[in-house]
Amino acid sequence: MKILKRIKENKKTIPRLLLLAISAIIIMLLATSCTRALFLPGVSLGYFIWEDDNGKINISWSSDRKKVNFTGLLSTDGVFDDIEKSSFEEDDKIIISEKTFSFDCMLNEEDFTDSISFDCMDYSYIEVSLKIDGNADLNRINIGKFLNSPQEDNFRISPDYFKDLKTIPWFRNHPFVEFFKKLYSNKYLTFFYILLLGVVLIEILRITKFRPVKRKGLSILISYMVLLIIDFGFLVFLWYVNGH
Amino acid sequence: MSKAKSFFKKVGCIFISPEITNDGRSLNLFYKYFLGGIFVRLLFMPFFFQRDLLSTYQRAADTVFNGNIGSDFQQLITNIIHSVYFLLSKTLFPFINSYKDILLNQDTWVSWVEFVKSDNIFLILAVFKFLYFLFDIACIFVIMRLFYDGDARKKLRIFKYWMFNPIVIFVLYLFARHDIIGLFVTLLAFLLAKKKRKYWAVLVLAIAVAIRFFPIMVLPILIIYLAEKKKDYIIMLAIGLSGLVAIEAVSYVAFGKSVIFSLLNAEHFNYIISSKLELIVHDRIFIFLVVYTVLILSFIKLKNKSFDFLMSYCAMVYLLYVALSYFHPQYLLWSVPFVLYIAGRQKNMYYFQWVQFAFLAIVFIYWGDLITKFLFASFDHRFFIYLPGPIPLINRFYDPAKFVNIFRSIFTGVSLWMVYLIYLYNKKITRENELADKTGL
Repeated sequence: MKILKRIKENKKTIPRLLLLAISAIIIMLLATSCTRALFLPGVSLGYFIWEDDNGKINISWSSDRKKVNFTGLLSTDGVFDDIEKSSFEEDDKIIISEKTFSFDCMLNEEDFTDSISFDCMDYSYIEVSLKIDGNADLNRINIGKFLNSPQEDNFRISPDYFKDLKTIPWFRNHPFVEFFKKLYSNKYLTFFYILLLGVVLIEILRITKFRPVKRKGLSILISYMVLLIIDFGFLVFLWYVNGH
Repeated sequence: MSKAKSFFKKVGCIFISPEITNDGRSLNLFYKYFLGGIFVRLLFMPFFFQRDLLSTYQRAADTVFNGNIGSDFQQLITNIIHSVYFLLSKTLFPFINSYKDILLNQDTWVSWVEFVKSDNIFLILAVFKFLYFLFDIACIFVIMRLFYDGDARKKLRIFKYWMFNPIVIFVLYLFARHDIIGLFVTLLAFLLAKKKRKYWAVLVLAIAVAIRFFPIMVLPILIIYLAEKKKDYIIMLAIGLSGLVAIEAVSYVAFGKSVIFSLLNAEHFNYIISSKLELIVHDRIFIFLVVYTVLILSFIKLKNKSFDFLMSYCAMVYLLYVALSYFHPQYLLWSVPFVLYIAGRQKNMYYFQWVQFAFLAIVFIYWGDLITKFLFASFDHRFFIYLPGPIPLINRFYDPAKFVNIFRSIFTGVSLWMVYLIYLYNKKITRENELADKTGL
């Protein structure tokens, strides 16, 4: 109760708490290194492939409440085992053999998602071909992460694929990868832009917070030094994340 | 040093107003709000945009590269302004020439994708939006001269409300639409009206009408406010419509097309008559036109047509338009300066603008990806193209049209409530005037 009272009394506390909460959520999201492509059944459209804690590979497909046909063919040089299907309806088909299996399923307004999970033993690759309404829309195939899409129609998954995926740092994932690339390709402008924002902020500080300060000049000097450090630091960061 | 100081003071008196320039504390506050507003604008300027910004500059590029002046004959002056600015920009920033193929590409989807994935997207967005930034700042300086002479506190309040106005920032720096150009010319017309340059005021408003059709809604109010004799009505009406007639003539002679008829047949005009009461057979009543007529008649009936009433009636016109008709987000910008005039005395009007904006943000959803997730596409085009949009998300649980229209209805309720508050404000002003008259007697 006392805390609530204090929050009510101090008007600045609420925005600060809000900012803290938002930052915490962002950091948590960034720090999450799970290799499961998050999707919302009935909202997301496409295939989502991941490896669960038991080492089973899962393939789910979802449509945005529209009639969409999902077909796929998987083959391996090993052996498929323990194939489980989930949310399959009567019309949904799956044909299984030791080294291959294929499926042909339909989603519609009421049927949001289907999925298959399986084990694969003694394999060096699993070759996958997935189609949506008969077309290979590779951007709609998410392996381990959102938009981690294959380059070819028939793509291969190696045994260590998902383990390797975990080692990819957050800044190599979407949407950061393209954002940082664009910022770095205009690095001098990025430097100038941050400098400009910083100068405006320091100027606001100069006429507000620094006004009653005795050593005003020193405060401004330190602010500009901090700004330059941040600005150069960000450029170094961009240089690093762009593969240098 | 003192010469420079007095020079800047003079400049400040011209642009900011003497009330603020001559008071150290007010000037300090002004500077603080100015910097804060600039910071917010800079933050958004290079990153967000809506497809229409690209279309606007594609038409300008068509004019500059191919010499096609009539690439946007419905908005001829707007296109000329953008073309001149584009020509200057590409001279100053030669990298813009590398966008020639994208800008001249007729395929809307391909050109958009090529544009958002280009490496210089942030720079070109900042350059494109800088034109609106100039008009934005010009608008607030006109507003500072227009509202509340001799009252530094109210002027500062309005300045703060403009610099941190969610609608202004959204329309210009996230949505990136050019309505600010027409609005600036409209405000100039009102400044001239305030200074009793009646014919010039109407002429400038006529130019504003030629730039963007919207000021025509306040033209009758301005004429009624300015007319002193019966013949003034005829002269001013002729001047007021001259801009439209001139554009029509130019368009007809140069391009062989009628602007007025194409506008009347365009879907945009249908927005005005979108809310209607169906009677029998063909008979129907267009609600906004009914309300607008009542508003004009009530303005005619006013005994003392002060500047206060002029501003409040303009605010009511635009608020009623967005409350009762289909509209695009940028149209809400037209109400902002007039509502802020009232907010100078009644703070709550500014807060209601935030409420309007909050509901508007939900109303956008139904307009699809272009207006929602694609605003962010410059960050990472693939991510925002393949990210599920808000409509499928809502559709998973509830009918999105119904969902959005619930909020649309609340938006209308809030806008009508604002109109009611302005009505109360007018009543208060009338009472104050009557009291002043009696005391004077």
